[in-house]
Amino acid sequence: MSARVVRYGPEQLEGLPASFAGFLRRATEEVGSGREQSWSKAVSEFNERVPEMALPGLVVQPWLFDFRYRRATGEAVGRFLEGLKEGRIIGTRCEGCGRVFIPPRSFCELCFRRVRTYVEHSGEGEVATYSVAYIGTNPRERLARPEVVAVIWFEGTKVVRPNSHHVFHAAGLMHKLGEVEPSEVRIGMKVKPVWRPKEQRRGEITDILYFAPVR
Amino acid sequence: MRRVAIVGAGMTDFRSMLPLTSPEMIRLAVKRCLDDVGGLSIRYVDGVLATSAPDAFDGYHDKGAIAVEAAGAIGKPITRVFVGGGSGVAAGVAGWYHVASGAFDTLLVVAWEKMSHPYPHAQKLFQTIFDPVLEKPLGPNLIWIFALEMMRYMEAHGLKKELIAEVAVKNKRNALDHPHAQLGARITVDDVLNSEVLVWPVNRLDISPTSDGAVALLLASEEVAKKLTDNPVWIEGVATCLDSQFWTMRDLAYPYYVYLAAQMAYRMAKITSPLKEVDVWEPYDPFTYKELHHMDGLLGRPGLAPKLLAEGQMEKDGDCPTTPSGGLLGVGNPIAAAGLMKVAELYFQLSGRAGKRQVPDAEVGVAQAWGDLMQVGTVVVCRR
Repeated sequence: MSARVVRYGPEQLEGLPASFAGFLRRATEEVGSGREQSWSKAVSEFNERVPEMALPGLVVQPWLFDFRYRRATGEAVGRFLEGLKEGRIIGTRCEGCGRVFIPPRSFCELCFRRVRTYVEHSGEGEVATYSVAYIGTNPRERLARPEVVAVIWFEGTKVVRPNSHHVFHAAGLMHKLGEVEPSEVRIGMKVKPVWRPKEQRRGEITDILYFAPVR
Repeated sequence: MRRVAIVGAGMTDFRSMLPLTSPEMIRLAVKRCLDDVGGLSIRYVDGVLATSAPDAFDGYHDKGAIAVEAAGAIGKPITRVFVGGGSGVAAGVAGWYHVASGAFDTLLVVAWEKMSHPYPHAQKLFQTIFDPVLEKPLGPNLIWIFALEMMRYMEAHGLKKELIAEVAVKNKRNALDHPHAQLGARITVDDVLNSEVLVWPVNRLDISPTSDGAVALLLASEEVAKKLTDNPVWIEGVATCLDSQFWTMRDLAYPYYVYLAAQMAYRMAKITSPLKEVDVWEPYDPFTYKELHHMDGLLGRPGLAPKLLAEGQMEKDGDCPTTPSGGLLGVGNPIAAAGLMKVAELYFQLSGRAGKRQVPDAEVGVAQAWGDLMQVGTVVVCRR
């Protein structure tokens, strides 16, 4: 069964900004949403393949939603995204407890005070934990190449609980690892960001292509 | 505060796809619950507490309202609680608030989930839990982040997949004795290790299924409970505790929020030594490692649960019987309903209604659930 059942046709995409039309095309391919007629056909095909739904007298009705959003990032994350465009990692530090937040936040949940001190970080850190993904967004489709997903804890931001190895806080980011075989990855491994070429950066988290081992 | 008892429970089968609508599932669970209390009339119920996971699963906004007719709540108060995967046990906690406060003498607690609605798979909807700016552009899958937690946990205690796989073997075997189970089975550790790798270190058989199902409990104040049943099960400790949503800035090796919730609940129930005093454990087991991770939190001892598992203490006849129901791995995982199923299992076990699953002489039980972005611990302690 393929989820790629319907596409927006050129008549629907015509006149839309290129980036938006591209988004719709991709979203359609992923979700399999689209025109009602093709969607109904996809559902009836699905029903034939799932015996539990093939009960006599059971009627299955398809429906779909198509929601779109935009949102303000807030000042802190906005400055982080602007920094990415320039190849810089921006965070904030709470003047109450001293904890560093990367990505930055505008308030500290423990001190419950505003956080206004911006700091710049080299971007180097350690692998706090990792996993090897063989599936992406659609669990029914295997990725062509497995991806190494990791939480990166930025250097010098760790706060460890006294008398234990438990890390109480660290400025941490979920991202991917590259330039390394899955079998070579270790917790604690030192890594640094690898940036997209400057002219291709758009102020998005994917301006960092991945983190690579410091060799 | 008044004492609160569970006086009845009912549930539907858990299946990957039930040919019932959400209201039909709820009504069936409620009917079975009332039948369990000697065919009590729905008119006798003062109010309803409902829970279900995100609206998106039913594709229907404000779906708490789905339960109004199906749980007989016309003309009565109905409240919906929601803390992600922790919702089912949170409903037991909130139900206790309602009755213990004196506001309700009888309260129906209902939980349901119909995960077969989303097409082609419920996993797509889980994407909405990620930060849309900082995480979603990476194309994440829910299993990614649990694999990250599992890896950190394994590293912290030097755990092997071979041991963790024993949880799936145990729970699916226990589920063979559960009349409503979706995935009861005799499997081996090799079956788990040889099943498809989804996100290393998580294999397919490390994960609970997506399910449809509903569960209902009837709670009553002490005075009313004694009129309705000869063997009520008392809710003696309840707690909910949350950690930060910024999960990448915490150490995932130990669930402190589960530990803190458990400590609050034990204090209420006057339990000082949980390992000795508790006879039945129903920790949340959507993944194999989660049962151990949560037991570490419930026992207050990082790394203890894997040792108990290796010694066989988590079996029904061990010192620490854990998930005799079969859990989410065996009975199924209709999210909110799965959590309430764990509380229902305490009722079945402590009132001696658990049939072939019965843990002998069980007096005290603990149920726990977990959810949101690996940040919620909900705990209920019951005593017969």
